[in-house]
Amino acid sequence: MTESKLTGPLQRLMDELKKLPGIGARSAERVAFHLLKADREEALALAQAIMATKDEIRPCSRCYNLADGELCSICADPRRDQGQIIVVEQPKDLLALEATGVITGVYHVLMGHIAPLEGVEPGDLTIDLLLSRVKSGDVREVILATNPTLEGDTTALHIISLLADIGVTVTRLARGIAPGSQIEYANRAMLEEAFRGRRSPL
Amino acid sequence: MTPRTDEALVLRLTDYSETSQIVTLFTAKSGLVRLIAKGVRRSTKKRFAVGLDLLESGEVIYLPPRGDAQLGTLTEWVQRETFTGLRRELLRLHGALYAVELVAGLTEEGDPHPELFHALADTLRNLAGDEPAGPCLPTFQHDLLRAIGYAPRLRECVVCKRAVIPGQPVYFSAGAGGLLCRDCEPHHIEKRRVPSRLIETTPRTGDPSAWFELLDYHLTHIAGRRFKTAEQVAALLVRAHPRRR
Repeated sequence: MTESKLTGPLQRLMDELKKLPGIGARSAERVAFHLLKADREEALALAQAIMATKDEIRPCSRCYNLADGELCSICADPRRDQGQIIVVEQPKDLLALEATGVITGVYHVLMGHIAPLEGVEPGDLTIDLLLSRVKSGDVREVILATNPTLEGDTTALHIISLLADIGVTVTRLARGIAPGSQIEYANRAMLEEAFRGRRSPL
Repeated sequence: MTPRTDEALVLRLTDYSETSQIVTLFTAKSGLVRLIAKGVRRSTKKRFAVGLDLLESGEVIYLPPRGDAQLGTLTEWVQRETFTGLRRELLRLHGALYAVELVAGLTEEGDPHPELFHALADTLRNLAGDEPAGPCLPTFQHDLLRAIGYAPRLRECVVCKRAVIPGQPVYFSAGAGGLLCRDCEPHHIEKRRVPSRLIETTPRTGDPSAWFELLDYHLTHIAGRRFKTAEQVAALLVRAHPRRR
């Protein structure tokens, strides 16, 4: 595609839009022209939403979820079970788990995973804060919901080793074949995990 | 361009976009290969058999890079072994990551090392199995040094060629390529003292922690940098195999 030769603010807007994930030159052009044609209020509402997000969103002081105050909406909710902590790698994982509607506990966001080959070490994550929470509160169970990747498992293994002496129940999410998928296309690891984790249907 | 089929181990995955990754594979026939795996992070299609993960082996079909392009294209990945036993113990896991870091750092793209490929696969298999993890690591370090042509001389002095006398002080110089006797060591600045008991053993049979440290010293000198995973592995090895004084 030919690169557009617009100059000034419109070109700048398109250049900024192109930096967003999933937005190529063509999509950036479409969005930029949409904003140009839109009401002033509509366009400024977008700009203000971006600014408010950057200015007001910060990590929850207890769990590191995204918050617009001291605590996130989950930590501040008195109906949540503070004795059950679900540990996730990033806020997006928390949103996915919340969408299930089955979780009544609270979360802890690690802000990443241990990746020794990339130089990401335990000290780069919020593991110390998790330990403090577990030691100081009435926590009964820590549920490790890190990704079932090698780096997610490395992180989980590290946390398990740290929690071993604290006397809290540590569990991990079950693994296996995803509903809707087909056994013939499942990889060996999934089948192995599914077989090992089989359970009574009742 | 004709697609190539090979056996491979996944050494590194780097996110490229929301759905694509750059995959570094160590293949049996072509050595290190860097490929773009388009759409792999969301794939439920048969060609990627639900994503790739570090430290798994499989059968790869790929298009080699064309012209000046630095990346080939992954077209199919069929998982073979996942070495799930690695994920039960930190030493096994970090040891495996150290092994792949060595291979990624000390071999070149397109430079085949079939014997090293099989040594790495065996090491991952052994680390994932029930045998003690410790001896696997110095054994692999030594296998790798031999494969890339840097195996250190560990039976006699590299300078005067005299056999090392048991019980006498002995030194190791990475620059010189092996052991130095007491008479030759004063002429070398870069060196470290080696317990004489250690060199009466082999990397496979001796103290895993001491052998690991010595061979990592040699590998670090060859690479010209510290390996990111080495410190953690050394600490875990000392915990698992306390030094004999």
